[in-house]
Amino acid sequence: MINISFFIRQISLITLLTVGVSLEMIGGVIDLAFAAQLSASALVGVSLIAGGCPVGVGCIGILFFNFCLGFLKAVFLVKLRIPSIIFTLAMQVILSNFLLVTVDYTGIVIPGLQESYRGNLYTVVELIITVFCVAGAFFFLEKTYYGKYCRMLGEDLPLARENGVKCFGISVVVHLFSSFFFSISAAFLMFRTGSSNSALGATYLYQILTAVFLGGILPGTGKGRILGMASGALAVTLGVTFLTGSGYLYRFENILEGSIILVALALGIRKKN
Amino acid sequence: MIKKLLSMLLGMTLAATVLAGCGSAPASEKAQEPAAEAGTEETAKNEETAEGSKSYKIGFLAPTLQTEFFISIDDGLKTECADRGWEYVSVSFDNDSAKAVTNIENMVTGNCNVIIAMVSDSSCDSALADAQAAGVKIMECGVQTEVYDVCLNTDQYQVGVSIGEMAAEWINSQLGGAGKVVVYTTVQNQDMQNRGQGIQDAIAENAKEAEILEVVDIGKDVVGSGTSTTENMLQKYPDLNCIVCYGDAAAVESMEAAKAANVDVENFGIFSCDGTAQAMAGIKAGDPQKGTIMFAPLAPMMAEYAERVLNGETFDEVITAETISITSANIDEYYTE
Repeated sequence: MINISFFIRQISLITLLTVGVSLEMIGGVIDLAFAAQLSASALVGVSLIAGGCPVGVGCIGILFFNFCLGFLKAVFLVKLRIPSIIFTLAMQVILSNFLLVTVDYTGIVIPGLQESYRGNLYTVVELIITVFCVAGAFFFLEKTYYGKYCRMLGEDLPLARENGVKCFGISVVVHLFSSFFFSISAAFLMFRTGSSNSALGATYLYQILTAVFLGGILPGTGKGRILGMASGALAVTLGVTFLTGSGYLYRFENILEGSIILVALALGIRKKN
Repeated sequence: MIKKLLSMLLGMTLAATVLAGCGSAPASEKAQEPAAEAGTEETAKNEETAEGSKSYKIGFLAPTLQTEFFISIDDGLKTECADRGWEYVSVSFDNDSAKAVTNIENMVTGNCNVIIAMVSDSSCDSALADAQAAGVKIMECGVQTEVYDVCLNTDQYQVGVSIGEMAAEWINSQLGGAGKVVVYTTVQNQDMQNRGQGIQDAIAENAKEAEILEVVDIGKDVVGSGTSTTENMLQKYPDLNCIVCYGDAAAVESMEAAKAANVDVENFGIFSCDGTAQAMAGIKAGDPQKGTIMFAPLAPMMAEYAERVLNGETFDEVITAETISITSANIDEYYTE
């Protein structure tokens, strides 16, 4: 029988990341750096707290760091027009290696932090925050002009430029909004493990891409719904939960995720053509 | 059409997981449910396996399942559990403590009775405590944190000293003390840092004329880093004649890289720890791999202590595993092709 508390904690995180990555993908960006961004920002937060700052300052540090990276993505991808896969792949390598060589790992475990954010009350708070964030994403995507312009960017960036859409501004807004989701996810991870290092959350890369593609969000189409994102996140959470516990995943998790990504992408590209 | 296909894919994923979940009740639960309902002698017999012991489910959480050391534990545990009529699941957390936490939670959901956790540090303590609260017994191995029912550990500094002493002995006898040494360690884990420090201290103590050229952080269980680092070190230090690694995975890769670089096999030594078959094959074949430290087989020990903790025994003291230094002098006792 599924443990509700564990399930809520897992689906909260996966949903937030799925929505964040999906928003970027709807805006035309295939983000391969979000997992490294997650690790790096959690490390910033943990470093601040370990250095004596209050937990709130640690969270603000995470938010600020992610906003900076979000802005950087908009600059490189829309202003300088660097292909998103190239840029985010490079960013992933830079982030995961930079902190590896600059931060001493062993000092960044804060057991007290982990203990303070444990229990059902904290799980409910995580759930409430997640629900509000998803509702915010729905409002952004479906009820604001930014959401509509975001789809235009994702569908055809040159055409959006020709039509006078302020692509850079829209892209900044979309990436900052996505960064907000990554920040909350990083904070959740930081509280959950009371630690951080360059690998924290790195394994979410394929899981989240699987959830995004299963949710029907495909690159270059500008299409995607919140319900799809939530369904993808639910499928992946249930899949990982049961398949891990049953021993079916074993050494095949990445093979399974890669296969699902390929099938979903192939279907999407076929549709686009 | 495409939407239908995507929906089907999503639906199939969900259905597969639900089916997997339905079929994943642990052996102990499967056995207990009918016994509780019927209470007959026949159903009570179902609680027992052919060997007469209760059936349990063991979960093994490894930092990686890509290196020989962890694969051998995984395979050994699988065999030990099968022999006892227990179910067994294993999963790797790829050195990501977030994934380790998720895996621990999923093993609880999967009704494991014992989780053998080879975690890196205390970042999983909350998840392990939650698992304990759910009635799961926790066996920590290779690390000691606050949360466990039984802990199998070794003094990693002392393991490092053993590796260093083995290397120093070879440097003194084969190279007349003129060792040019590179140490491969990692700072990603306190235990490995301690082991690395033990290596350096033992070389400094026992081979006073040897020079440690560089201490390199090669990452923890990163497949391929032994090869690339060795290639770089051989370029950087042409007089390099000894590599001392924290583990066999990197050592075996170093051995291949050194052989490919045509080093003088007689006067080039690689020393490490884990006692894997590949490392021992290298020692036996007269390759640059000159020594490794072998732990007493971990899988049978893990299974034995899992059984004891399930039978209600408690362990306040940390259980330590015996280590054996394997070199060309005693390789025949421990390795046959």
